[in-house]
Amino acid sequence: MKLNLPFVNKSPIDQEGAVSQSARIAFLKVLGVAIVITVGFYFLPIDYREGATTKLVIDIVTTLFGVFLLFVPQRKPKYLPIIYNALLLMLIIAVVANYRHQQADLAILAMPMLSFFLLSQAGGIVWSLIGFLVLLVGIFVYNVPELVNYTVHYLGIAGVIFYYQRIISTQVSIINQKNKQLEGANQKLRDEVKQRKKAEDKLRKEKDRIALIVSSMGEGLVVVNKKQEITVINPAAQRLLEIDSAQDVLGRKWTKVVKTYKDGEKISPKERSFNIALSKGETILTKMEKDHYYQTRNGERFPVSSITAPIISAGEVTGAVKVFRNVTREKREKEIIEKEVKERTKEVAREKAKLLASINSLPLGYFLIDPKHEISLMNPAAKDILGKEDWDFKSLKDTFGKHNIDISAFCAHCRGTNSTYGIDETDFKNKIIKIISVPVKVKRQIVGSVVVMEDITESKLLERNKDEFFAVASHELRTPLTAIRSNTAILEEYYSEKFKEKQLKEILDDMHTSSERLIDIVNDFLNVSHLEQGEVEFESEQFDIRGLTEKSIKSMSQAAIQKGLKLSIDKKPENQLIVKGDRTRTEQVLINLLDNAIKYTDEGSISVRIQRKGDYAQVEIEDTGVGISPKNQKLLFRKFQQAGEKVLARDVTQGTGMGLYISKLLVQKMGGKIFLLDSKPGKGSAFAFTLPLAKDK
Amino acid sequence: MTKTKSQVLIIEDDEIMARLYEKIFALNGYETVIGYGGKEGVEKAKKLNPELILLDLMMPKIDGFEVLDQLKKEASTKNIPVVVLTNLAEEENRIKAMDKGAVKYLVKSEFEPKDVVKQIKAVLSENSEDSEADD
Repeated sequence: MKLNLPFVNKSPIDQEGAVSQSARIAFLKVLGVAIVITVGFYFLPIDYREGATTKLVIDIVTTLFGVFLLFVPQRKPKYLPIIYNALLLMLIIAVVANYRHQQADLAILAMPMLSFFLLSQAGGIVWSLIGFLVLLVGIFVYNVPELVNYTVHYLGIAGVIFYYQRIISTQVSIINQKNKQLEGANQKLRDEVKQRKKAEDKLRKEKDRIALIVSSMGEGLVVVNKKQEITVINPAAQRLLEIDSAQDVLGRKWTKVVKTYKDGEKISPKERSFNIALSKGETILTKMEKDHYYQTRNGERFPVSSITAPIISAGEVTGAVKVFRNVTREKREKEIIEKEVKERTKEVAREKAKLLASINSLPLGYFLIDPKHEISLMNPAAKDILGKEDWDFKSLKDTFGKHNIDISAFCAHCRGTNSTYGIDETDFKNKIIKIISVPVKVKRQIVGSVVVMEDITESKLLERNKDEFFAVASHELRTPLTAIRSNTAILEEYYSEKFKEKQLKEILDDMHTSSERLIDIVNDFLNVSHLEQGEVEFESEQFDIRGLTEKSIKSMSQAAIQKGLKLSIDKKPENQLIVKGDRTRTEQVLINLLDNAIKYTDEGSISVRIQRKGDYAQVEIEDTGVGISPKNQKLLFRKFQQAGEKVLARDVTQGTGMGLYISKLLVQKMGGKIFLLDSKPGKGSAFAFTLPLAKDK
Repeated sequence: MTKTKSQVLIIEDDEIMARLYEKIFALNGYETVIGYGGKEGVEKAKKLNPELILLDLMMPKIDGFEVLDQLKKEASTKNIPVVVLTNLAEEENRIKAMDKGAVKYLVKSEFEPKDVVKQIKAVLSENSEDSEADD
């Protein structure tokens, strides 16, 4: 239940600010008029009770007014507030005038109007009752029976108005709503138009941009419609096809404007890209390799590479677009490259063939294993050694495994340590082979290992045979030699008086000496053979090297004196130098070196020096003998070599020449080294050997 | 029968070597008998009952070890001291010979014939001490 006082609130019908605004203005206008009339009524001495005309006029006016009120709301709902406000004012005027003039007739006018006003304003039941009450009050208080008449009128009118008001307000609100809707729709339309405009602008900009791209493209662009008529052709296409003006070809069929050739022959229309694109909706790529040629306006042909794509809108092919370019230069470049590649490939193949031929002709067995344990190469020699044609890694591994060679560990080791790894000698099937593995690197990455096998059976057997031969020969030689020597010894010892004759004695002496020498030689051979075969046992003793050296010197002093040589050992503060080794063998080495010194020195001295060198004791024997030339120095410590001045003029009286070699073997076996310190021809030589010092403190 | 010279039996197949030993021993006051080969050696050992046997190991037909076995099996010969004189230097052979009853094992490369005599002397003097005790 609302009470909307026009002065204060907006009327229920009026919710639009605009309407209330104009209503307020109108009200103010009416207010002005009413004030004037009020003033007029107040001061005018009109007695309008007299005269039926006045009454009639009032009647008519009120009825008209009522009728007017009936229709106004329908036509101009926005004036209703004004009217109500006017009514209210008139009521106030009437009441005031009535009171002033003590005229009950005004009450007749005023009261119903007041009640009517209240009714229509409020539109609710309560206010209707109040209005009715007011009427009743008027009737009885002012004792105006005519009011009944008016009451009925006005009730009726009020009711109708009341009813209409409802309709009107609904309709008004409907209209307002519709208004609003329209406004809303309007706004939406306005927005849409704005959007559309924006989109249009965007499109236009895009279109401009595309047009710019198309016209500045380096490649030729041609668009055709469904009928293959050219609709767009860009400057690049014109240039390539030698078309002066686009107008010449627009609208004309592509097939008529440009001919396509392949292998010198024209391509049929069916095979042409536009055709396929349009009919099948496929995108066709014509690459350089396809050897397609376009013929220009002037009859020139050039090779092309092109893309032809259908233009599809709403699921239908409406045209096609082709982008193409002249690939003359590319073709040429490609040919050059291809030629070079071919040549290089040939070269590589040649080199590879050479390499392969070399590998295959090697007498050494060769095979290449990659990290995945696959045999990527195996030469004939390897197959010979291994005794089979076909190999895979597993069978290879098994075969080697049977001979206790783990081939994969082999390769893994050489790859892992990035170095050559091998076995110098091992039995394999009924051969002796030497096997080494070498990692294969490509740019610092190990890509596999090469295994090389050498069949050294023959050379090894030869060596063994040679050694055996020596051993056996030496053995066999000993017996007769002993017989000779011992017999000659007996002769010398027990039958010397029978050999008084000088010649006989000489013969006997020479036989004895020779046989002794022979025995020495044989012993040397045997010794060497034993040492080399590792058949000799060495003691591991601790002894004083000084003491042993002094002993050896003593035993050789006689020989030295005989040649007039001085043999001495240095005086050192340390009395003892304990080394680790085989005492007897060390003595052998000392005797050998001293013996050599004496042999090769005719005058002067031989001095021996012993000193500590790190963890070793070093014995040095220096003589003032013939010396050894640099060339011969290289030949020292070898088997069968005597470093006399002339290699071929071996001094056969001076032993087998194996002394140094044997000494070397002995010293090395004891963990030391033997070497020439220094030597100058004519001045002398200095030899030295080392032995490890005994470790205990 | 008293012996003035000690009798040594040399079992050796090499004639030259045998004769050599013969001479050496003779020059040192020993009477020697040669058995050429194992078979002859064993026979002569049985027949002559020498004071010492010098045995070579490397012989064709019967090798020295076998001879040693035979000598030690035979009652008449098993007490005769046997000195082995051989080219074989290996320790295992030494052990084998000693096990079979040899009293000495001399390797030819280490002992010159003169030294061999010294060794024999040593053995014989030991034995003669024993035999004197027996007498």
